[in-house]
Amino acid sequence: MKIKEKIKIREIVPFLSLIAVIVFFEIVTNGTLLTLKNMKLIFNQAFVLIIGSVACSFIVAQGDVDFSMGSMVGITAVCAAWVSQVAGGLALPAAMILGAVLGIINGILFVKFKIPSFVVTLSTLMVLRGLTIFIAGGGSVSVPFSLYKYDSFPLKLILCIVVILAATFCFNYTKLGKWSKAIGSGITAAHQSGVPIGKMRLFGYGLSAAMCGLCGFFNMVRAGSAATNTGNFFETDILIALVLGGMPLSGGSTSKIRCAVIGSLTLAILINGMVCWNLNEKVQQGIKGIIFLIAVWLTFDKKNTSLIK
Amino acid sequence: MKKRIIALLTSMTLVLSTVLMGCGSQENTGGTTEQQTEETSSETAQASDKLPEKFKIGVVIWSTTDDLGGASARLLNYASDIIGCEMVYNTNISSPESQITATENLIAAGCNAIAICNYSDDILPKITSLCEENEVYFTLIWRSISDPEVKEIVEASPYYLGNTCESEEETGYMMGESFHNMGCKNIAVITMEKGDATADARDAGFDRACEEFGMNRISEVRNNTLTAEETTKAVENFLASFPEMDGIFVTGGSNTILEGVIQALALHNKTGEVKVACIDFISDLDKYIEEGAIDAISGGHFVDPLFSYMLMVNKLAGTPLSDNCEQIDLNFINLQSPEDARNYYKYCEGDSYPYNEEEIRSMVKYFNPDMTIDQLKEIAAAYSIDDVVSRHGGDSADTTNN
Repeated sequence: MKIKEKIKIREIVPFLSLIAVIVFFEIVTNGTLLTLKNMKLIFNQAFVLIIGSVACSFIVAQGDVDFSMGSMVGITAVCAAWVSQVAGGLALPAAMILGAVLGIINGILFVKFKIPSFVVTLSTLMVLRGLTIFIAGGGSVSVPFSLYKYDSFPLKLILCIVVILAATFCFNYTKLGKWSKAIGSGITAAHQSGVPIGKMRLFGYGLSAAMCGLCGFFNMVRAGSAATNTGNFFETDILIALVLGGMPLSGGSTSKIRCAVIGSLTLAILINGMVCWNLNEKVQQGIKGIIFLIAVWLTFDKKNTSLIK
Repeated sequence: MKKRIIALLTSMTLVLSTVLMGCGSQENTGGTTEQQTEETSSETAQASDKLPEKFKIGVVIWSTTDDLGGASARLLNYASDIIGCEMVYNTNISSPESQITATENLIAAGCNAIAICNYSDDILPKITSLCEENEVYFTLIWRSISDPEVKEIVEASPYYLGNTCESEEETGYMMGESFHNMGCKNIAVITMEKGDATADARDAGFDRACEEFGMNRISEVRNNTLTAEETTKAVENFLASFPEMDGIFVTGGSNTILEGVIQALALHNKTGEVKVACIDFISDLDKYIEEGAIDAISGGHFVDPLFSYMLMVNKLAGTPLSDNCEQIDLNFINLQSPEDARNYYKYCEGDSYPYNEEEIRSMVKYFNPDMTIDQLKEIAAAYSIDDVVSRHGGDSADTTNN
C-alpha cells in the first residue's frame, strides 16, 4: 500500500510542478505568460523538445541513455540543409534516414560490442560533432527560402499531436513499449521471458535518432540555416525535460510518455517565463539547476540506483 | 510519506519564491549587468531628463560576464539609467535556433527594440520576419551583413534600423602584419568554430597576411567555449608538437582565453620568445604588456552596441536620426604600451565610461534637436583613447563604472 502511495505521489509531482510553474509565472509576468501569442511561442520552442524527449523515452524506459542527440540533430540538420539546396522535398526524408542509420550504428556498438550506452553515445556525440563541422564546411549552411513555410504553427501542432498519440499507443499497447519497459524493469527477467533485448535496443536508438532527424529539419527551417553548433546541448535539455516530467532514469514500468510531454512543457515555460519576468540571467542558470535537483530528488527511485547500462 | 512530500514542496516553493523575489527585487538596483530591468537610478531626476516613455530594449548577446560582453552591458545600463530606458539581456544563444528563441522571448517580454549579435547572416531573414510580425525595431551589433541576398531582405524591412561594426578582416590582417614585423614565421591560431561571422572575418584577414608575408599557419584550435585551463593545455600541445612555433594569434580573447595562453607560455618559459597577438581586451593589460606577455592587441570595441542602441532609442522616441537603415563604423583601439593600457582603463573602461552623462544625452535627438546621423557616425569614427582623453582628460567624471 505504501509503495503504491509513493508511486502515485511521484506521478502527480510533475503535474503539480507544471501547474505551479504556470501559475507562478502568470502572476509575476502580469498575465503575459498565458496570452495566446505567448502560448504559441512556448509551443514553438517546446516542439523539438517534445519530439526528442518522446522518442528518447523508448531508450530511457530500457534504462539506457543517449547523449548523442544534440550532435545527431546537428549532423542531420546540416545534411538536410545541403540536400535542400538541391531538392527541397528530400531534406526531411534525408534527415530522418540519416538519423535512423546513425542511431542503429549507436545501437550496434552498444549491443554487439557490449560497450555501455553512455560511453557509446558520449563518443558519438564528439564524433558526429566533428563530422558536422567537416560537412558544414564554411560553418553555416543556408536553407532555400521556399522551405521557411514548414516552420508553421499548425503543421507543428498536428505533427506533435500525431507523434504523442502514436508514441503513447506504442508505449502502452504494443510489444514495442511493453518490452522496452520490461527491459528497464529487469533485463534478466525480460531475457528469460523471451524479449529480444538486442533488437529492442537497436529499435530504441534507431527511433530516437530518426526523430532527431525530424528535430534537425525543424531546427533548420526555424533558423533558416544549419550550423556547426545546431542542436548544441539538446541532449542536456532532453535529460532535464525527462527528469522534470518524472521519468525514472532507471527505466521500467513507471516510465510514461506523458513524462516527456510534461517535462518539455515545464522546461519551455520556465525558460520563457524567466525571460518575460526579466530575471537576471545568472540567477536563471542557478534556478534551473535547483529545479532539476529537486525534480530528481522527488522522482528518483532511490532503491533502483543502477541508472545507466 | 505524503506529509513529507507536501512539507517538502511547500518549503521548496517558499524558498524558491524568496530567492526569485529577491532576484526580482534586485532588478531595480541598477548597475548590474544581466537579464534584468534597469530602473532609473535617480528617482528624483526631473521628468525632462528622461525620455517620454520608458522603452524596453532587448539585447541578444553571447554573454554579459566576460570582459567584452560585461563592459558593453555596463555601458548600456549606464546609458539607460541616464535617458530612462529598461535593458533586458538574453544570453541563451548556443546555436542559430536558440538565437531565434532568444529573440522571440525578448519580444514576448515586451521589448520595443532589440539589438542582436547574430551568429551568421543566415538567421537574419527569420529575425526580420519575427520583428516585422511583432512590430519591433532591431539593429545588429558587432556585425555587418555580407550575404547580398540576405542584406537585400533585411534592409527592405522598415523595422531594421542598421548596424554597428568594426573592420574585422582588416584587424586580422593587421595582427598578421604585426607578427611579420616581429619576425615571426610559424604561427598557431586559437579561434572560434567555423561559422562565427566575426572570427571567420578575422581569420580571413590573418590568412591574407600570412600569404602576403610568407608566414605559416602551423596549427589551430577551434572552440567556442574554451576556458583558460583548456587554452593552457592547447598551447602546451602546440609547444610540444611544433617547437618551431614563434607566434600565437588569438582571434577572440575576451573569455579568459588570452589568460590561458599567457599562463602556458609563462609555465614553459616561453614568454617573449613566442609572440602573442590578440583581438579583444582583458583586464590587467598594462601588466601583461609591461611583462612582454602580449605583443600586439586590439579591442576596446565594447562601445559598439551603444551606437546601435542610439539608433533604436531615437527611433522609439519619435525622433529618428534617419529614415533609412544606417551602418555605423567603429575603430578598434590598438594598445602599444603599458601607458596606453593605463589610459584605456582610466578613461574608457574600468574607472570611467568613454561618454559622460551629457554626451550620452546629446546623442538622443529628443534632448538634443541638433543631433544628426552624421554626427553620431562621426562620434563613433572618432573613438580612440586620444579622443576620450581629449574629452575627459581634465576631469575624473563618471567614476561609477564598477
